Amino acid sequence: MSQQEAVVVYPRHPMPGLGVYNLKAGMWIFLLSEVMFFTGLIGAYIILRFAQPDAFPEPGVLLNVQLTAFNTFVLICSSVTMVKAFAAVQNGDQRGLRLWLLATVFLGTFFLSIQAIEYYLLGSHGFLPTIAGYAAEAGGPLYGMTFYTLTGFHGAHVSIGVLALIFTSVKAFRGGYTPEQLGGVEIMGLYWHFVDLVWIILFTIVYLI
Amino acid sequence: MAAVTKEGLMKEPGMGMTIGGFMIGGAFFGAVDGYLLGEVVGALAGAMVGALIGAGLVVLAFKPRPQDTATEIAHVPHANYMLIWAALFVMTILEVGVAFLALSKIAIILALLLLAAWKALLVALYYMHLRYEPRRLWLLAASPLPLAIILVSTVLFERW
Amino acid sequence: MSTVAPTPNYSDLFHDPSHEDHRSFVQKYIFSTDHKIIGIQFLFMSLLFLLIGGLLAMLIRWQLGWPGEPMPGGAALGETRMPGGIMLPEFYNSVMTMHGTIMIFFAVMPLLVGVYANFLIPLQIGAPDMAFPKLNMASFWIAVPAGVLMVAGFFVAGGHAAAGWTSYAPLSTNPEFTGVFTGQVLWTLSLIILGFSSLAGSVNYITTIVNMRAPGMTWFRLPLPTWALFITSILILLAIPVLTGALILLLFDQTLGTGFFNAEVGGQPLLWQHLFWYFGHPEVYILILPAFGFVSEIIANGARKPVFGYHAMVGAIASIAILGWIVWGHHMFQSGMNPMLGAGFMATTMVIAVPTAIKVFNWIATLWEGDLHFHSPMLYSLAFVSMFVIGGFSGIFLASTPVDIPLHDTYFVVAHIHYVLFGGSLFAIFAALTYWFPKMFGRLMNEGLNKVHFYLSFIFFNLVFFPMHELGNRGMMRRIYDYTQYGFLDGLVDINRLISLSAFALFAAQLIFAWNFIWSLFKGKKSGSNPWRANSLEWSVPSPAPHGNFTFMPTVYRGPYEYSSVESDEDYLPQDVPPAKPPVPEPEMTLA
Repeated sequence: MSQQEAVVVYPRHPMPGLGVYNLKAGMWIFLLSEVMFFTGLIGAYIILRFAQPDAFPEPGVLLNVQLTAFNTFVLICSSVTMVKAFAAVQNGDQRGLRLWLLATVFLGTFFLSIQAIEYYLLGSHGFLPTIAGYAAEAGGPLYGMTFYTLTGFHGAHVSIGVLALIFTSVKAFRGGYTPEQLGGVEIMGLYWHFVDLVWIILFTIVYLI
Repeated sequence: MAAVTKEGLMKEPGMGMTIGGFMIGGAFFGAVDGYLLGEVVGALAGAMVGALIGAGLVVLAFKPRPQDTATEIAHVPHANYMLIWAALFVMTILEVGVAFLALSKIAIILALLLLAAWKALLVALYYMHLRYEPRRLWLLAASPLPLAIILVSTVLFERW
Repeated sequence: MSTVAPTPNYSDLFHDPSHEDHRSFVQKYIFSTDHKIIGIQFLFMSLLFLLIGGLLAMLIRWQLGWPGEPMPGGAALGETRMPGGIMLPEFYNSVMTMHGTIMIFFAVMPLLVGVYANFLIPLQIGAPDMAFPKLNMASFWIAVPAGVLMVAGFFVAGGHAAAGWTSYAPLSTNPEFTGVFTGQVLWTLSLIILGFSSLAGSVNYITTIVNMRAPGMTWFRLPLPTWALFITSILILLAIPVLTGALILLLFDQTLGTGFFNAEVGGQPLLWQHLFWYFGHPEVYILILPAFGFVSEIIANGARKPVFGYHAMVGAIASIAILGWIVWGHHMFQSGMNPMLGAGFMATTMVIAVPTAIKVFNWIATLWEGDLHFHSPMLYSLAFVSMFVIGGFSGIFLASTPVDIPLHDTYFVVAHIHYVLFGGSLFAIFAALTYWFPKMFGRLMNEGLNKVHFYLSFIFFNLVFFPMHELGNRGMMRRIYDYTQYGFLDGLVDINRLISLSAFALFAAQLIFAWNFIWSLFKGKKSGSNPWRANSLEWSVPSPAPHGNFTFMPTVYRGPYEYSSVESDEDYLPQDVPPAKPPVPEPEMTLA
């Protein structure tokens, strides 16, 4: 081989890729798949609703819009506390990080408990997800099935988020996050804001339309 | 208790909004709770609980600091988070209002979808920081949208 | 060589030869985070499922060749399945369902993606491992319970799922129709869990390829297998969640008493079809795009020529992936959906043939006037091209809605599927297995046995599946237990019998490959680092590749297809060999 005269250069960094570090890129990519998951479910809702419009009552008739509007507000507030937590760790403010993370956990749990109360109240009114249990105000069982599936899967995502936030808070209390090592908080924030975003859309489609 | 002074509230309009928001929210919750349970006492209790929680959180953690209203945190640009919060709050109220207006169904649906999309965009751009990220990430984040539109618009064709 | 002494770049993950490997056996081979071991774990799991899927096919072929006659040894399967050796219709339905399900989800998909995305990507881009090694380990170990659940279905009361691999509702939601309840639920659960495994994998592959390419490895210097696997991973990322959503709705209908697909309560069976095929069509591209990548790589290597039209090849893969999102309705032409949709889907389906044809022409042009070496990976790849083209032609017939009316759900479709999935994907898998075997295991497979396996498989494959076009034309429908009940199909027994006999021979020929594989694992001739004299980065490390892959982060100077280059004395020029002239000083890598 005639490459003997070459000067070999050994740079230390991989190619600039997405422009964000691996953990953040990975979380964004995962969130794209979540968009498709909820798209599939919302697509199902649209087909079913167009097929049997009479089975879906007017907004507010069966579901408590005011309660859920407040719940939406709670979730939005939890997004604020989450972003405040991230801002805190960017500044090296450990106390702020811990407090704002705890606030987010609290607000997330608050959201879930209001939703649980809502499910309980609806259930005792006879509004169930199955064919057998549909309330009189709904013209058929489709409303219940779609309502519980859509909000239920969102609630499941919130629950997983709250669990992950608890782990994040524990690590924060142990001083595990610094301005140089804040990936865990940032990706937690991205997931949490995404969950809020999905709720903004679901609330509109399921409760208001 | 530095937060809950007149100066504090003037410096940080967001703080006042947070307290106010929790009080209103608590009132909502209590009212609804009362409505469902038929108890005036429940409604008042709910309102007080909401206000207490709001005030407590604010006092504990939210002291007015320059970095909360600065346009950069640790040399990383960001939006005014409280302003975005306020916008989201107002738009939620608007949405609920629009849903019960006496307009044609299509107009209501369009207005609601617009409001929802706008709120979602605010969360994505500012809370998820997309506005300040490299353009490639914008492209990545937007990529499932055409697919979602394709699925939803195709199934709209199927009406029985 | 007057090279400057290299500054070693030992990040935690790169291979440091002076460092002892302190991992235990369990950490090295069972719960390993090394992408190569995870790839090999997927390999053994999917080869096992390939065998099971093949055995199920043999059962199908017995019934179709000798309808209603007792199978030798069949009575061993028991009274509920083959009393006296005669297959029950319910069992036949299970067998054909599970053949499809296992081959697609547990054999071909993991072989193409689970094995090769895991094994090849970090090696080909110059990275020490994946972006998220622990997530990678999780993705394999999540697939295992999914596999266990799928196998368990064979042993439950009522038998396994019997609604076809497409599991249309309400056939799959109402146990009265198939006679199967538990098996159907297990099928649904298994695929939901498998979806998480695929999703975790795809997040890993995309992040790794985007963010961890070695210096100099620009996008258009990536080898085509990596490009193909990258685009396939994007398809997996965006299509699998829709399937998961649909499967969840199906599970609720099966177990919770909901009625999403139950027309009696206002649900829509067509909803299942739309959701399933919205996933299902990108799925078939997931099953073929990696094969395109492997075949391009191997043909260039065997012809000692660069891939003709590298940029067009990348563009074609991307176009196929994008167009693949708007063709799903061609699986539903006869479903009763809005006919306007049918016209639209017909147009888009025909358009998607164009980028595919571009690839075929480019493969031929790569071969043109090349210095052809017919090693066994090359043979499999050449067969891939011709058989995939045949499968593509039958696809064009089916794409035309009016032509699809008589051909839908006949054996014409079965012929099409198998030409692209067996003649296409599986032959590409054989090519990849023989080509990368030395890198995986440090030994060479026996070339002679591979060639025997190739020729026998090629001949018998065509004898099995080509006549199916004629069966379809004559009206023999799919998924049918006893076609002789129809007078007009009575004369087809002879063709079916010929097909069945060829199928048994085809299966027997695979045993040659299996024997070669297992024997070579232990007794194959030891391989050097670059037995195929190829250019991509995986051939610059020893065989088998060590933990951490590279000792120093490689620097890439050129594309991967510099075969027969004037700059080299050999007929190949690896990507990481520095050029003869001193390079222009590397500019500072920025995010701009």
